[in-house]
Amino acid sequence: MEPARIRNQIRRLRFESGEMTQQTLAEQTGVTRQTIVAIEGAKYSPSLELAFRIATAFHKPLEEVFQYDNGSSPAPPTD
Amino acid sequence: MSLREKSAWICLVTTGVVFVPYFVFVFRLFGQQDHSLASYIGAFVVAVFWQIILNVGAQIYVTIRGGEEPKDERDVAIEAKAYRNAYLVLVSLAWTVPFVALPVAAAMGQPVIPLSKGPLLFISQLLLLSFVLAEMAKYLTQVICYRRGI
Repeated sequence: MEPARIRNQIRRLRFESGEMTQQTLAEQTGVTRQTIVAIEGAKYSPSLELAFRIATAFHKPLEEVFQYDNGSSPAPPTD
Repeated sequence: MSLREKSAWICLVTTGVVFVPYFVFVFRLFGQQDHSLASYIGAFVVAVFWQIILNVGAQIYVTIRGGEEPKDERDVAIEAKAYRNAYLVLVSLAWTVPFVALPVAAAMGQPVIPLSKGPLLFISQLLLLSFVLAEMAKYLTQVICYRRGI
């Protein structure tokens, strides 16, 4: 079984938000800049609450910011 | 590098710098069959004094240079992992102390039953070594988690 990974689009979303800095995002979400760096670099998986705060900062739904990748191929469509 | 990572590095380095020479000194005393309590207590007081001076001095320096930084959920998660590892190290080492101390004391010709001053001092130093290694495991875990992720 491959390790589960949470991918994120924070870098792209920061770029699309007018090059929002990591420090600005950190201040908006109530964490340190180093934590944003760690999340962006997939070195830390945030709590659900922090994930929602980050998504709210970008005005995006959670699944557009974070994606769960458990290493297995996606299930085929049922219809 | 975050303030808490710098803090973990400082604690790791100062603990190593102070307590490695301390344990080299006290285990040399055992090798010389010197069991005077004053030597051990004196060395311990000097080690604790230097640990406080170096640690507090360095912590004040990095805080003044970097500024205050609130603790967030990642810091808490790393701290929890560090404490768990430190606890495992402490429990593992503390259990082995009698099994190491008593045969060593017997081999050095010290009376083991009842325990004489030499083996008691040796046991106390091994327990202190367990605490120090557990502390270092805690700081090392923090440094690794900050560097490589949790």
